[in-house]
This record gives sequence, C-alpha cells and structure tokens, in this order.
Amino acid sequence: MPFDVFSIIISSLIIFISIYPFYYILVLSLNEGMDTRMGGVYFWPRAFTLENYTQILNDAKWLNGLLISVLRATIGTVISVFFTSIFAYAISPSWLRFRKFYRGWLIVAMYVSGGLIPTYMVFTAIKITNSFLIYIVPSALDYFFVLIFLTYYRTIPPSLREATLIDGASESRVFFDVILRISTPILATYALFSAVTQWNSYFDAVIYVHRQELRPLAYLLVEVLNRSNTSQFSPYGNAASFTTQSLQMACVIIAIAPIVALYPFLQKYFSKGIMLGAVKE
Amino acid sequence: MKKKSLFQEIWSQKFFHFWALLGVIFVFVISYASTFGLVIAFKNYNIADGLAGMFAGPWVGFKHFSDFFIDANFVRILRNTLVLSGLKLLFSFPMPVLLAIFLTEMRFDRLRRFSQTVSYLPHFVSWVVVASIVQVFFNSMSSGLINSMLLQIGAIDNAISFLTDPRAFWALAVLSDAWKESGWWAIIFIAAIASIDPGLYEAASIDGASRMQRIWHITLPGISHSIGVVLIISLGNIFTGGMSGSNFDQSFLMGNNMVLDASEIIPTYVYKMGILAGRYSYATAIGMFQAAISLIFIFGANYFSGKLQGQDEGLLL
Repeated sequence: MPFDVFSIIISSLIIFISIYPFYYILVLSLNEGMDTRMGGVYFWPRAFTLENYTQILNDAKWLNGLLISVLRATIGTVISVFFTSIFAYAISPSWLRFRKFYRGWLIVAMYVSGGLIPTYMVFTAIKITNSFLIYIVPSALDYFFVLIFLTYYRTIPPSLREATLIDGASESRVFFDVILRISTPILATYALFSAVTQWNSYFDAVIYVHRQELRPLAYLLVEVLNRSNTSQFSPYGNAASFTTQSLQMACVIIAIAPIVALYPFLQKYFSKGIMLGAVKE
Repeated sequence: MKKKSLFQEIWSQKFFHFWALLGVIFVFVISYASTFGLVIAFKNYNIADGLAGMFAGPWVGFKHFSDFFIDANFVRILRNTLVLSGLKLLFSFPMPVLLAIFLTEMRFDRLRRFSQTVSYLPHFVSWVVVASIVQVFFNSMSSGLINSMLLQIGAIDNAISFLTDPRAFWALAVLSDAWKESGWWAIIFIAAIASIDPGLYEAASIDGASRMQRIWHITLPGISHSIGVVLIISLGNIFTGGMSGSNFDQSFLMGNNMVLDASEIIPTYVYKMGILAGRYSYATAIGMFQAAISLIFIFGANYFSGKLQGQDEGLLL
C-alpha cells in the first residue's frame, strides 16, 4: 500500500520535527561551548562535558531563579487550586440565592479588562508589585477553570451533601472531606495547568518586578536570550559569548525538564481538558 | 414549615455566600477596577499624581487617539499586527486540520498514537524556550544549526543572518507558531473526526470512493463546525496572533532592534509607550483602540458564521 509507506514517512517526520529541537538543545548543553562554536554538532556531543550544568548550579543567581520558579509553581498552585475550587463550589448550588449574579459577575469579567496600563496601575495601588505576591495574587482565581469546576460539580448528586450534613458535618467539612475527595481528576488537571503556567511565566516579572532576587528562571532566560541576540552582531565575538550560549542551553534544559517529567500526566488530563473549552455552552 | 425570611435564607447559606463574596471582591479588584483606569485614555494623566490623578487630570477628549493615528509608527505596527496574524491564519491554521486528517487516516496504531502524543509536547513549553530554540537553530554564526548545515553541504558560502532580517522574522514567527501549536489544536479536530458516523465511511467504501474522496466528502464536512469555531476564535484574536495568540510573545522575545520594522506590533508598542516610556494615557488609548477593533472582529465573525449556516445564531455566541 503506497499510503502505508507515505504514512510511515510522514509520521516519522512529525516525531522528528517535534522532538529533535529539544534533543539538539540537550546535545549542545552537554557539549563544550568553544567546540560548539566550530559548528557541525548535530546528533551527539563532540566534546562531552557537564561543565555547563555545574556552572549554573554553582551560580547563586541561577539557583535563586530556580528557587523562585519552584516556589511560585508550588505556592501559587496550592493557593489557586484552593481558591478556584472553593469559589466554584460556593456558587454551584442550584438553590443558592444570588447564584445568577455570582456567575454573571464572573463571566463578564472574562471579557472585561482595562488593558496593560490600567491593570499595572491597580496592581501598583494595591501594593502587590515588586513582591512575591505578584506571582500568586492575580492568578489565585482562574475564571475559565471556575466554569470547568462548575460543570464538574454539577455531576455530583446533591444527596451526598445532604447525607453528610445529616451525619452532623458542617458545610466546610462537606467541602473538604467529601467534595474535594471526589473531585481529584479535575483538581489534578487544574493543578498541572497552574503549575505549568507559573513555571513558564516571565512577563509578570518583566513588568512588575525590579528586585533581582525575585526573578524566576524564565525571566533569567529572557535576559540571556537578549544578551545572545546582540552578540549575533559579532560573528567573531569573544569566547565568553559562546560560553553564554552553552550555559543558555543548559538553562533551557532545566526549564524544560519538569514539563517533560510531567508530560505523561499533562497529556492524559489535557487532551480531555482542551475539549471542555471547545464545546459551545 | 414556615417560609424563611430572606435574611434567614442567606444566613443558612452563609458558608457559600462567604466564599462567593470573597471571589466577587477579588474579581472586582483584579479585573473590574482596571476598567475605571480607561478614563486616562481621555485625559492627560501624570504618573506623579498617583491613583487620584486618574480622575483629577484635565480632559483631552480623543487627542491621544488622533495622536496615535498620525504617529509615525501607526501604519507600520498596524501592518505588522495584521500581516503576522494573517500569515498565521493562512499557514498555521490549516496545519492542525491536515495533521488531524493524516493521523486519523493512517494505520499502525502505536506509531500513530506516539506521533500524536509528541506532536503537542511543544505546546507546554514556554515561549522563552521556543525563542531560545529558534535562536540556536537560525543564528547567523556559522555554528547556528541551519547555517552550519547549509555551509557543510555547500549550499551557501556565507552564513545567512536570519535573525536580523526583517523579512525572515515573519517567516520564523509563522514557522515557530505552527511548530508549537499545531499538535495541540489537532486534538480538537481529531476528536471531531472521531465523532463522525463510521457508517458513512463504510458506505463510501462500498460505493468505491477513493481515500481523497472520503476525506473531501465525509471528513471535511464532518468537522466543518469545529473548523468554524476555531476560525472565529482566530479572527477574534486578529490583533494577538490567531488561534494561539502568540504575537506578543514572539515580537517581545524574538524581535530585536534589527527587525523592529517587521516585529513591532500594537501590544509591544503599548508596552514600550506605557511601561518603558511612561506615557500612560497614550498607551491606554492605543490599548483601547485595539480592544474595540477586536470586539468588532469577534462579533462580525460570529455573525457571518451564523449567516453562512443560514441560522440566526452564530457558531460561538
């Protein structure tokens, strides 16, 4: 079958195109910077070294960036998962007073924004800029995921809450002991989404943060990116700029590593997650 | 049972109202409060006056808007915005559809599943990572991957400056966008194809339809609704870069002073004018202009999608 031959070629091409760029970065990160400069390194390190990694892991600035990224991905995610899930639960009961108002308030907010500058002014006014709070406060409630949580809670029979209340539990016990426990799939989906978003974010650090010790890994990568952009202009630049590149490669690998490690979970939960957004209400 | 008063009813639901109100306050501060800041688009706002100055400053009407229209950069950044989004609509929009059709047509289950799984790995990495990859692949030194290869096979004599050529910027932007997001959007189309009645394919096979005929007459009509929805989302994002909204990240990370002619777009200009140059009123006016046009685009696209289907209601809203 000619189509079978064609499909094997094309699918191999898809796999190669998707993976090779990451693999190439890995190869360069394991190759001596000065050697890479001569070109011709494609599939394996020619002058193998771990120096790029040891350099980075001994640099206080990079370690600090890594720490900030880990902190925002963990603390930010825990807070956001908690607030998003409990807010969605609080506005979910069909018998709740003002239910329509709460929902409408949220949905309109998804389409309304003052834009970059007015938002900047508000964040400055409530004093969350130039502090770790800028990473966790604005993302504490994800509007889109509130809607997804609402859809999920709708599938939980109301009798579950009533039965638990009759057993003498309080409303908060119902939420923490019963509702959260049976919402694990959606909680995991949102936790993954939030952690990846936090880990990848750089622009909030660009606009709102000026203190070096608060800058996350992604921001430091932007800095290196800009530095090696300008070093493009001197093809025969000094050796240091090339070392910059091999260090940059090691940083990129460090930035990708958690995503790849989480990938089996990401693809399991998210291939379903994207569909939720595609369905017309 | 006696009917409860409103207060008693709310009190009995206090757990719910407590968290709901906390959320309402949060949404107000984070989202709605900034809309009041839009008034500075019609004023001469001075940063030194703080938040109060927002309402105190002198009114100037549409001065900042007309300033923008005669701004020396206006035509250029509007062109770049539309060209980048237009090119993405043209090239990176059909990619996921083709990918989905190909993957559902092929046999070899495990190979197919593996290709699909790796195809959306790039979606999850940051644009900073993608920009770094683009830089390493296309850098103008002879050690840049593409230049190194072209030099080695003798296709060129001198390294090409991809990253500092304004025309190459558009190509790289579309290419990297398609690479990062095609696999992700293909998920939607694959699901849509999976929901087509398999009986249609069987009937077509019995009637002797070729593979291309089946794709053309069954698969494509079967996923036209999904294509329409994604197209409307893309049109609504006409200023931010099509379905994945990647314009800002790309111009911010992959742009440099040498390619500014091709990479400067409205959102990066807002950032430069506002955050970097401190022209708050002017930047807010530009942002507002963009938001207004986007709104027209999304409602327009939605309206026409309804008309095309002969319905009163659009596909999306």
